[in-house]
Amino acid sequence: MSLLEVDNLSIHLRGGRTLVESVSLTVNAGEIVGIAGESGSGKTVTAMTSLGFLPAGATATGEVRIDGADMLSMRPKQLQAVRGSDVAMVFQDPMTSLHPMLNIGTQLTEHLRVHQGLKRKQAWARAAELLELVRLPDPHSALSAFPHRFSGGMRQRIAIAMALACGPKLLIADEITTALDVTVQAGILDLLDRLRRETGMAVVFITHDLAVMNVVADRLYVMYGGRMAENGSISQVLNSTRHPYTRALIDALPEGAALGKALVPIPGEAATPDRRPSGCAFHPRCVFAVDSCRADVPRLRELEDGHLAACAVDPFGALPDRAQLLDIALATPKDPRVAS
Amino acid sequence: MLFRFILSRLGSAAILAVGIILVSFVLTALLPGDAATSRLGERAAGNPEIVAAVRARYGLDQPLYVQFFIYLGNLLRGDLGTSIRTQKPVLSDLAQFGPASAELAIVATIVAVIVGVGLGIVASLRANGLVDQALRVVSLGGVSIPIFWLALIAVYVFSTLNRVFPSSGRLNPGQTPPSQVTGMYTLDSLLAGDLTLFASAISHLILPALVLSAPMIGLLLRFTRSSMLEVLGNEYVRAAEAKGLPRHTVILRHVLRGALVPVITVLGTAFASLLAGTVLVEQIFGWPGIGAYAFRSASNLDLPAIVGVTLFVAIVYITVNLIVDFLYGIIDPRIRRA
Ligand SMILES: Nc1ncnc2c1ncn2[C@@H]1O[C@H](COP(=O)(O)OP(=O)(O)O)[C@@H](O)[C@H]1O
Ligand code: SF4
Ligand SMILES: [Mg+2]
Repeated sequence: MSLLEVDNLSIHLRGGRTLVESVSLTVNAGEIVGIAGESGSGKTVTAMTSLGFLPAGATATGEVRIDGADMLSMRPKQLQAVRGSDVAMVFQDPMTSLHPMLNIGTQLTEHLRVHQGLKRKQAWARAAELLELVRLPDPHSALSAFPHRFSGGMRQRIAIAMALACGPKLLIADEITTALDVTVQAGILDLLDRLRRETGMAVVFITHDLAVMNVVADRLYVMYGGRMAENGSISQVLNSTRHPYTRALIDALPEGAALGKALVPIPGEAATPDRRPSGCAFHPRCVFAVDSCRADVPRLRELEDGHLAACAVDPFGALPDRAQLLDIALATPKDPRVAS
Repeated sequence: MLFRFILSRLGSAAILAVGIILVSFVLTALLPGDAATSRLGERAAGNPEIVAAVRARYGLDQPLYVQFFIYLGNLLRGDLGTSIRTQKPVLSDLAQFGPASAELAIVATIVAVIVGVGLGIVASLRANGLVDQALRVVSLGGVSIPIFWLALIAVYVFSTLNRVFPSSGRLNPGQTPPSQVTGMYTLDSLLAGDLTLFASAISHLILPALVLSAPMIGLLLRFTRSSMLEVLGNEYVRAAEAKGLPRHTVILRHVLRGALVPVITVLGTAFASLLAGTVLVEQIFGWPGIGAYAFRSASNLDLPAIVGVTLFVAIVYITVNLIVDFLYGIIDPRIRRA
């Protein structure tokens, strides 16, 4: 049994709009799993269900299990017990995700006291340790300070400390470096990597930046228009890409993609729940599209061990990937016998 | 940081107070009528020697700016002059009528804050539901129904039809007031340990206080609701929920705290209009307070009394705004830096 199992999840709004359709994903203990895709592709909505959050007025079908327990059928009290203790979340913008009028100590300890029944003094001592863990300078005086005293990077460290407080098995990190400067981003990524090694928690890491993803994630899910486009190990998806959308994302990366460089948009507009093209949602922007792409939603198929893609045409399937081509090209003239 | 914030607010309050005193001084100096003769009886006022002696005695022969400092000195010693109508020092009149009004205004404000903010929270959590619709009517009614009309209805329903509450006065006829400590009968009767008197004081207070609080309830309800709704959409609220905090903690500690600043802002203004409302309410409920005193002083052109009431109300108003400023500083740490 995996730690997180999202099984055939669909989320509909009143009035028939579909935010997410038939999405499945799994996260095993200790693993960093990435979710990539342009803005509006449904990454946040999907990830939030693992905390039992649905958009206001939305209904969900399918299952979202944490340690086998279905988050979508839990009562509010049960959800409260899981949130912040088994599963924790770090949000995109640390300028808005910390309460501006509560001091850091209170924000770090309130859930500790609820979930673990700690007394105020113990909880505050633990909070100071947490701030040390995320390398916040001068943790003790930070506890009585308010968020406006800290820079964005420092606030994100505080938000991470908050998420780690109860020792969660799963951390949802939703674009946690997007709002930060490039140099600060690198520090946060290092921190996340160290924490993962030290605590053994699993991480769902959401970003639209594949260069960052390549550094961080073990496995990768690529979403488009509320559906899963492609998933597999990070090298399967990024080095033997099978879906034209993933390919387009990679090609749109700036040359020598440095950490955090902006994505050059793919021509055309990303699909949204309001305007989702028929059939394969990517077809208006896809150079490989054929007639059937406009009519039929392509099924997610397993192409090789643990590597799935939802493309009816599979234009890269017949070809060896670039890396293999390069290997062949380099190997052949030198010693033809070895290549065969 | 908090200390410097308090100091700066106290400073600006003091400047404001001096400004108001200056205005009231200029008013007294400009208005017709001789301050010297108004202090004397008719016979003495006809005698130029006595008048001259009084002028010298009170510094009225000095230049205007010197008079201002004399006036300021008198104020600091508590000398606000003598009421023409009651023939008593204005200060002792204020000491007699002020606490009655203060009691009314304070209780009305406390009721309004608890009820208005409480209902505002409820309305925001049930936004656009049936309860919210009903509360919208309550809020609209509180703000727009004239207070005298509300008072008459309240008296008719709760005193005339059903004898639930007495319709006038501060105590039952025949009851003697508790010995004066604060001048507020509810507090003083408790301090004296007299529970029957306390019950009587409370039952007299409830109706006028409720009527007086109605507009403030309406205003606070509306502001709390909209401010709560705005804060509910904030990411830090979602973050608090993601920590698995109980619902009431999220609502009261995170959402309400974030929503309180605009509510406190409107509190100062709402209190000013509540003060204006006391004049009417005290008339209708036969409440012997500052409002009734001001009303009678004004109709008798009793200038020293009018100036005294003006200063009194101004000082109350400055104090309330000072409290509001402090509340800001306590609630929002970012404001302390200003
Ligand atoms: N509460 C909501 N009500 C209506 N639409 C929503 C809500 N939350 C998200 N959406 C829509 O669902 C789509 C997917 O959103 P999201 O998961 O936030 O995308 P991503 O995180 O990949 O950028 C977006 O088009 C967004 O507008
Ligand atoms: S199914 Fe068709 S439109 Fe969709 S990605 Fe594949 S080729 Fe392109
Ligand atoms: Mg998002």
